[in-house]
Amino acid sequence: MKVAMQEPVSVRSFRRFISETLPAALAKVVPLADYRAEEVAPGVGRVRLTVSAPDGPVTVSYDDLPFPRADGTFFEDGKKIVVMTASSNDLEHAEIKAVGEQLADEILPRLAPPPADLALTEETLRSWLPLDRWLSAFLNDSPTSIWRDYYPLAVHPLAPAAELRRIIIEGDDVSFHWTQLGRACLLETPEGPNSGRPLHLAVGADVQDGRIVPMDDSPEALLGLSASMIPLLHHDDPARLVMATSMMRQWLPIAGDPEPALVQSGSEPDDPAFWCGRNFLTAYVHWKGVNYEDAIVMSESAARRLACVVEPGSSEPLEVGDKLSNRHGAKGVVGAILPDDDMPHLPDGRAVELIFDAMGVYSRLNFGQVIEAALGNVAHATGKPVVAPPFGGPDAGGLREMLRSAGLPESGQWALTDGKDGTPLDQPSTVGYVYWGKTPHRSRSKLHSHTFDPPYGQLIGRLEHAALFAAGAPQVALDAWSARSTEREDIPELLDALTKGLLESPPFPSPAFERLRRTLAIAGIEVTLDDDGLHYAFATPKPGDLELAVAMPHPWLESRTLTHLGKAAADRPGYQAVAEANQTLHALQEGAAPVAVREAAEARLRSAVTALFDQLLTREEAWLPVWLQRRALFTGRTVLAPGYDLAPDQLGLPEDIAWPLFGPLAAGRVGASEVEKRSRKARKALMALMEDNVVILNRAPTWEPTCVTAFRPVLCDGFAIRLHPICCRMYNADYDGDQAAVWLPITRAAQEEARQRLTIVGHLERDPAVVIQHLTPSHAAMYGLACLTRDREPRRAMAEDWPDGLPVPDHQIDRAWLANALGQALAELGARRTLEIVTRLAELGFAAATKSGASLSPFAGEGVALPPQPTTEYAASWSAWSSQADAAILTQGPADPTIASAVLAVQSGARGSVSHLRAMAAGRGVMGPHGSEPPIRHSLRDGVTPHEMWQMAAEARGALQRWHETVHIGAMSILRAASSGMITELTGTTVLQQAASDSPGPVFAEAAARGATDLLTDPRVRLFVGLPPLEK
Amino acid sequence: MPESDADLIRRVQQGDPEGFERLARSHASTLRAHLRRYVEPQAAEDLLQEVWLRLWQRAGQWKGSGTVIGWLLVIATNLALNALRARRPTESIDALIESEEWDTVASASEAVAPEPEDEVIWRDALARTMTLIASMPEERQAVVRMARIEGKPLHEIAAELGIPVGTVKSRLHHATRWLTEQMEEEA
Repeated sequence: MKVAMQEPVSVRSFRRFISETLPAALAKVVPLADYRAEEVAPGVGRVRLTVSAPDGPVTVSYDDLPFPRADGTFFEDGKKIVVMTASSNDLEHAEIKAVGEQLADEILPRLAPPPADLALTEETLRSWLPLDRWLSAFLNDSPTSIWRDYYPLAVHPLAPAAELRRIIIEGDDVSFHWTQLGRACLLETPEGPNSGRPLHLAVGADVQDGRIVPMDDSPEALLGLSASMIPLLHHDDPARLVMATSMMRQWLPIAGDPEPALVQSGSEPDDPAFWCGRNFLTAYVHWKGVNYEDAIVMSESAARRLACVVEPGSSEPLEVGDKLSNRHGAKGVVGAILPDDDMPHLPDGRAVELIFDAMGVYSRLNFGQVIEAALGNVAHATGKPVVAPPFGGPDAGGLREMLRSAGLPESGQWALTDGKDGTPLDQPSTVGYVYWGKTPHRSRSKLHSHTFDPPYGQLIGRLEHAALFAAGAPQVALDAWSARSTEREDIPELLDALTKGLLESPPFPSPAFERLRRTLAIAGIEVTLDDDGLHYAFATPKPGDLELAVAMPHPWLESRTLTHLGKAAADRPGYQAVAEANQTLHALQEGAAPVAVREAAEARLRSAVTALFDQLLTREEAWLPVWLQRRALFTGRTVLAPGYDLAPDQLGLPEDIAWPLFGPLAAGRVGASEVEKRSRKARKALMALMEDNVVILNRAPTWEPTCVTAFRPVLCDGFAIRLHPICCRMYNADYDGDQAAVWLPITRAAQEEARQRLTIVGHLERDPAVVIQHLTPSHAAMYGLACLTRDREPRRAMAEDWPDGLPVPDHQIDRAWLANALGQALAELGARRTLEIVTRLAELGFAAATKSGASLSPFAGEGVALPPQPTTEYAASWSAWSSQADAAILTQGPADPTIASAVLAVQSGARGSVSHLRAMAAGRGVMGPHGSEPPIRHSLRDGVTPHEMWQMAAEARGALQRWHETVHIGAMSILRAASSGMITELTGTTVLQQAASDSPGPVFAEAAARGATDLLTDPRVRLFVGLPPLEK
Repeated sequence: MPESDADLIRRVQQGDPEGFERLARSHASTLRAHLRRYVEPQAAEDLLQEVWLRLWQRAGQWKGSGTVIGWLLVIATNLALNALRARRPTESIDALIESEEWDTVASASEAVAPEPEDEVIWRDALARTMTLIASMPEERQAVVRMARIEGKPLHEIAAELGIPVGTVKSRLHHATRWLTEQMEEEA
C-alpha cells in the first residue's frame, strides 16, 4: 500500500477557519459587508474585511499573515508546525483539533461588537480586531505550536510528514484505548513517562469534521507513517519497534547517491532522499570482544560508504563511537573499524561489512533483521529488491524456496573464516544484507570537555556524592564540590596555581556556600560562618543597597517590612525591572502625578520585586546545596566505546578530553604555548601526567559506588572514551550510545584517595560480594567459556590456558558457578590477582565465542518438536503449554543447529531467558499477570498477526504507564531500596536541610527572624560549606 | 464645547493631572471591555492600571496621527497578549515529544545548554526498577511496595500481612538484594 499523500490536515483545517468559521463569527459582531481571505504567496496570506459604519464602509486589510504552506508547515522555512490535539484517549469519540479549530478556540471568544462610542475608522477597527496580532501570537505562544528544528542536521524526509500526523491526547487518561486501533499507530509513542500521550495518526485514517475516521482496514493501515515503512515488522517485538520508528526518522543523509534498501516494505515515499541508509553485508556473530554489548564492527570500506552529510557540500567520516541503527530497532555504536582483510570472509571470498552480535538479538526479540538478512541475499543475488510488507512477506517455506531458487544456501547461513589468519569458524553463521543508517549521535558531536567553562561542567549530584561517601572517598567529593566548583570566581588564579602541581587543599568556604550567602544578602538575610556553625540573622541596610521608593511586606516573611535590596541584586534577573519601576515611582512621587498613575507605579514595583524574589532563590540554589548537586570543572564527557585492547584498569581518553583535563598541569611543566600547540614536548609532559594521575569515570545514574571508578588514563584516537568490556556491568552501561563523564581530581588528597579507594581493586576490597558479581564474565565472554567447557575434549585442551588460581571445571560451567569460583579466588588470592583472573577469563571467552561462529538462524527452532497449542484460550491450559514448550526448547534445542547457540546462551546465563526463546520460536502464549488477554499463538519467527501485534503493543504500553504512575509515588524510596541503603535520608533538622523545599526563601527568612544556628556536624552540611566529614 | 482627545492628550503631555483624569475617564469603559476579552475582570483592571501608567509616561510619543483610542487599544492589546503569554503552561508539547526524541533534542541542545541527562537516565532506571518489582513473587512484591513505596513501618506491614516482623525484614532484605542484582543483569 502506498501512503495516500492527501492534503495535510492542518491545511484543510486552517482553510476552513479562515474562509468559513472566522467570517461567520465576525458577521455576528460587526455589520460585515465584505470578507476575503486569500493566499498571496506560499505561506503568506491576506484577509480584507469591510464593515458598514454610519459614515460609510470601513475596510481593513491584514497583509502578510502566516498561512500554512502546501505541506502543512508555517513560515518561510516551514519550521513551525501546529500539533493536533484529541480531547480523550477514546479516539472514536475524541474531538480532534488541528490548527484551524485551535485558532477558533483562541480567537472567537475575543470577538465582540465594538462599543457604541467607538468611532469606527480603519485604525480603530484594526485596533479592536487585531487579527494579525492574534494569529502571530497564537503561532508564537501556543503550546501546540512548535518549532521543528530540533534536528541540528539535515531533516529526514520522513520527519516533517510524520510530525504533522502527531496527535496529543489531552486529559489524564492516556492509557491504551481499543478505539485507537486503526486510528493511531500501534507503535509510535514515546518510551518515557509520556507514553501514550503523543500518538501518530494511522496511515489508513484521516481527520474529518473533527473526528478520526478509519478509511482503510488493511493490516498495514493500522500503522503510522514511520512504522508502515518497516519491512517484516511482524517478526519484531513492539518495544524495539517503538525505538525503530523514532530512530529511522533521524537517520542522516549519507554522502553519495541514495541506495534503496534491498528489502522494502512497499510503502516508502518516492523521494530518493528517503533512502538514507546502506545495505551492508552483515554477520550476526560475536567478534573478539569488539562488538560486546551492542557495539558494531565495520570494515574500512563499509565505513567509507557511511560518511554522512552534516552540512550541504561537506561530509563527515564514520568514527568509532558513532551510532548506527537498523529498521528493526537494533542500535549500537561503532566499536572498531577494521581493515577489510581482517573481517570474516564468506566462502566466495567476500568480506563481511558489518558485524553485530547475535547475543544482542536473543533478548531484544527484533528477529525481523535476521530474516531481512536472508531476503537481502536473495535481492542481492537476483538484482531485484524484495518487497516484504508489514504482516506480509514469505513464510519459512517461501523463504527457503526463495533462497533455493536464488542459488543460495537454504539455511540462510554461510561458513565463515577469520580474514586475519584464515581460521574457519566452527559452525555456519547468519550473514546477509541488512539496511543500516547513521543516527545523529556522532561521537564527534557528543564529546564535550569543559575544563574551565563553568556552564558546561558535568553534573556531580546527590547520587555521586552518596557513592563517594559510601566508597570512603569524601576527599574526592570535596574536590568536586569545592576545588572544582564551577562557581569559583578565581578560575585564572586556580589555573595559575595548578602550574605548580596538584592543589594542597580545596578553597574554604566553598564557592557554593559563598553564592548562597550572597543571594540571601539580597533579601536582607545575613549568614555568618564560625567554629560554632552557621548563624542566620536579618541585616541592617548597607551602603550600595537599593532603597525602595515604597516599603512593602517582605516577600518571604509577611510580618517583616522590606525597605532595601542587597546590592548583589544588581546581578540578578528581574533587577532591571525593579530598578526601572523604582525610578518611575521615585519620579512620580516628586511630580504631581495623578493618583491612578502613582498607584499603578506602586503596583508595578511590587510585582517587579515579587518577580525578582520568585527567581532569587531557585531550587538550583536552595535545594541543591542540600542535595549537593553542582557542575564541576575538569570534566569531560562523550560516548563509550569498547576498549577491547586495554587493560581493565585503563581508560582510553580521546585527545580532545585529555588535553583540556591535563593541559593546565602540563603548562606548568612546558609552558602554556607548548600546550596550546600540543607540541611534541607538551605531549611528553601530558603522557607523564597521565601516568602519574588517575581519572574517574562516572556514568549516571550513579546507583552505587562502582559507578564512580578511578582508572589509569591512556590516550586514544577518535572521540569516544574506551572502556574495557568487563567494566560495563559496574556502570550498567552498554555500547549503544551510552555516554559517560570523566573527572580529574585536582587536589593531592583526592588523587591519593581515588587511587586507594576508587579503583576496581579498591572497590573489590571494599565490597567483594557485589563487585565480583559485576566483573563475572557475561554475554559473549560467558558464552565462550560455556562453549569451552561443554565437551570433554575442548575442556581438556583449554586447561592449560585456564587462569591459575581458579579450579579447572570438569563440566559445562554457567555464570553462577563462575561467580562463586571468583568469589573464592577473591577471598584467597586478593583483589589484584582476581582482577587478572577475570581479565584472562574474558580473553578466553571472547576468543571461544568468536571461534564458535554462534549466530541466530532465520529458521530458529524449527527442528524442535513443540507440544500442540491448546485450542481454547484458557489461561491455565496455555500456562501448561508454555511450560511444555519451554522444556521442549531446552531439551531438544541443543541438537537443533538453528537454535542451539541461543539455548546455550540461556543455559549458561550469558544472555536471554527461555521465555525469550519461546516467544521467538514457539509463540509467547498468554501475556500479563492473569492471562486475561487471548494468547499470542504465533512465534516471531513465523510472524505475529496484526491483532497479536496490537495486543503486545498495548501490553507493553500498559506496563510502561503502570510503572510511571508508581514511580511518581515512590521514586525516592525506590531509589533507596535499589541502592541498598547507599543514600542516606535527605531530611534533617538544620535550616539548610529544611530549605530543601519548593519555597526555600521563607525557611531562611524564618530562621533569620529567630536567629537560628546550624551546627556543622552533618557530613553533607560540612561538605556544603567546604569541610571534610568529622573524624569518627 | 467638550475638549477633544487631541486637546486632552496635549494637556497630559504637559503633565496636567486633570487632563489625564478626563481622558482616562472617557476611554476607561472601551479599554476595559477590550481587555476583558483576553483576561478575567480583576486581571483586566490590573492591566488597565498599566495602560494608565503608560499613557502618562508615553503621552509624548503620541504624534497625532490616528486616534488616541486607537493608540490606547494597541497598547492594551500588547499588554494583554504579553500577560497571556506569561500564563501559558510551562510544559510545552515540545517537552512531551522530547522524551520520544530525547536523544536528538539532547544533541541539539548540548551545544547551548547543560544536558538534563542525569534526570532522564535516572527516570529510565527507575522505570526498570519498577518492572523488576512487578516481576517479583507476589509476597515479596507486597513487602517492597508497602515498605519502599508506601513507606509503611515494618510492624504495620507485619500486622497487615499477618506475618512476623522478622519475616517482613527478611523478605525485604532478599527482595532488595535480588533487585540490586537484577539491575546489573539487565542490559
